Amino acid sequence: MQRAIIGFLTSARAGIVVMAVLAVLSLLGAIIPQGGTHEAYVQVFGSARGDLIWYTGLGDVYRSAYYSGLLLLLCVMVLACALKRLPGQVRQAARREFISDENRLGKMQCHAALELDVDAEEAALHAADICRKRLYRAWTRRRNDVFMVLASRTAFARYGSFLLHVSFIFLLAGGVAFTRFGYRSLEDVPVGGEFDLPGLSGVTVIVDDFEVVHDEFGRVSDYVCSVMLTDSGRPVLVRGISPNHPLEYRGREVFLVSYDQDFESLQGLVVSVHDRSGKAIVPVLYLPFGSPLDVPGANLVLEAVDAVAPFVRIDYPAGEIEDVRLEPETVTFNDDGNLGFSVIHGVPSVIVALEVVREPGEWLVVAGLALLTVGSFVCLYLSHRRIWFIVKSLPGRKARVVFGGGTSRNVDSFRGEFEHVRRTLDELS
Amino acid sequence: MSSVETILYAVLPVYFLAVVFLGFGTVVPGKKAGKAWFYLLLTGFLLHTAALVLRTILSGDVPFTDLFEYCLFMGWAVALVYLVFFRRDLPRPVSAMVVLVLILLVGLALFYYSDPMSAKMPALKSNWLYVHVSLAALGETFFAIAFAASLILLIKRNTAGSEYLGRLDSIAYRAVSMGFPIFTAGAMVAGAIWAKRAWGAYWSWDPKETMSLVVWLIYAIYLHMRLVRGMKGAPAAIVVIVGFIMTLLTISGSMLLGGLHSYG
Repeated sequence: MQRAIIGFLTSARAGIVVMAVLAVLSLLGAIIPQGGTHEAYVQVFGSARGDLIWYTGLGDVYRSAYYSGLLLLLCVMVLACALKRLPGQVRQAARREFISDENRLGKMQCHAALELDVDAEEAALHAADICRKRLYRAWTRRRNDVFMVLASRTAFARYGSFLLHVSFIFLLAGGVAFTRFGYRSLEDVPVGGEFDLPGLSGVTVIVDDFEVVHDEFGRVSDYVCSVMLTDSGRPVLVRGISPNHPLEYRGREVFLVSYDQDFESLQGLVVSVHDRSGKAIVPVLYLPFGSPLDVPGANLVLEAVDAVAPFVRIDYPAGEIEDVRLEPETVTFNDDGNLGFSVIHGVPSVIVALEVVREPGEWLVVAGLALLTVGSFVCLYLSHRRIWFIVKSLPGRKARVVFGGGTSRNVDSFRGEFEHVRRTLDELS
Repeated sequence: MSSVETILYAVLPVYFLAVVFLGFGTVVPGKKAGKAWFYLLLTGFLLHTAALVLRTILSGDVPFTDLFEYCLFMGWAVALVYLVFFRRDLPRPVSAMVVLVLILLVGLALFYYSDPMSAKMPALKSNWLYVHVSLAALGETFFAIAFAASLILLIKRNTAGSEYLGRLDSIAYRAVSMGFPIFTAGAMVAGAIWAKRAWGAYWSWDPKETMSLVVWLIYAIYLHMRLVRGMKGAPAAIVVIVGFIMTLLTISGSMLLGGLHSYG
């Protein structure tokens, strides 16, 4: 049973199947809008497909038990596979094995035999030198009259797949650390408002200002939220938060997520009423939303409507109703042109959305990402190459050199290199 | 029509002629046809480079900020990678397929053309933009070469000899093994680090992020099939083709699926 479980966990075929299922589920999650309601899925996809999406959890696939389970299974498989292969990788990379059996060399990816006009010791040293010039590490050993040379290059390439696989464990551990000990909270704060940093008593973030920055062509180039941070009532930090530049303080990061205009805080409009010539007949008039008001001296009723695109509704004595859109710093007139209105106050304040994040497992994620990058390059760009030589003395100060070698990857390139070694060695003949 | 668009409309027939000559060279092998397609491709590449440089000058930033610029850059990178790494190794049909992919990318760029003066999202003002986008596009460029070799392998699997098919398989593997680490570093790792800096989370299950993960998983499956199980030929080629189709969907998918990458 135990053997069967280990066999399953270290099986490449099973790993491929798990990755394929994860790929399909991820793709479905990308296509199907996530986090919807049952009714919404039925409305968009129809009754049968909507039900299918809802009851299979595809509407929230990344948080479903089966998706998390598959991710966990993949990580366990990756770890099991990495650990299973590690002893072999260490043996291949670290073991300094000399070969004295010519038949073994004949079965290698590349092999050759030469007769050289130098004695065996000189031939062996020369073979080692040729390899060293090609960045190999080379060792020589003598047993009776036979010299053996081992040359090895980029042995650490054997560990590439181990690093790559282990990176997932770090990423998973980082994710678990965040889920267990970290948090993420969204704070909607109006300019001038403040909030306490979660988890840090006495630390307050005061939002002083928000500015949309434009470049010389009038295009939006940045958003800057100016904040002051106080710790136990004392100001400790004053700076701007903008996209890509979060505020960092004692393990917490504050990100500017978005901004909006705070229409909800508006209770009404402050307007001025003008006559045909533009002269203000009522310089300041407060009109609460939804409460029509008699305008003194004008014999009409006014009502402020809509905070987003403000306008006044005029209720004339004859029963007619007319809407006049309001523009800041501009007097706009009714259809008859005898009454003008201007909004004095009614521009909503800005509310910013700030996200506070505490990610205690961040170094695990960074280490995982670094291992993922290094591991994939080492695994696929480098190869562990080895060449073994057996040098025997021949009568008349001659030597017979039999050599062979192999590589963990990129056989074509190794063949070229092996041929170069053969030619260089052959120059001694 | 803008100057960049004009150059790209001029590039298309040049690349197309290169495909015609490559096809001609396949049917009637000859030295003249061989040289003609190469000079046409080189001319197209130089024009393409001019379009890229001009766009950079006009927008005042590297051309990585929207879908038009991404397709423009990736097409240019496909031509560059082909000319530098694969030109001497690829059989003519594969070269023709690579140039067809190039034409597709230039076509996509023209389809998604954007005004160089249009506002760039403030979130894109980061040095990670250069690392993330350039490496992701470069990785996908190698996938395009692998796709071309795999498609020809699949088309010719019943007619060509085993040595020829083995060569195509080897080209596809070489391209994927070169592209996969670059894609990993650019799309996945640099993307995650930048996402943390800009949005506060390494991973948000955004549609484009997720589709990149799908692409990554498909090529990881391919590498496991090839390296661990020794699978070659048509099954491996199908995985590479599916991987590149997913890559194209990932590139343009954000326009349809929205999310944090909705700008491109």
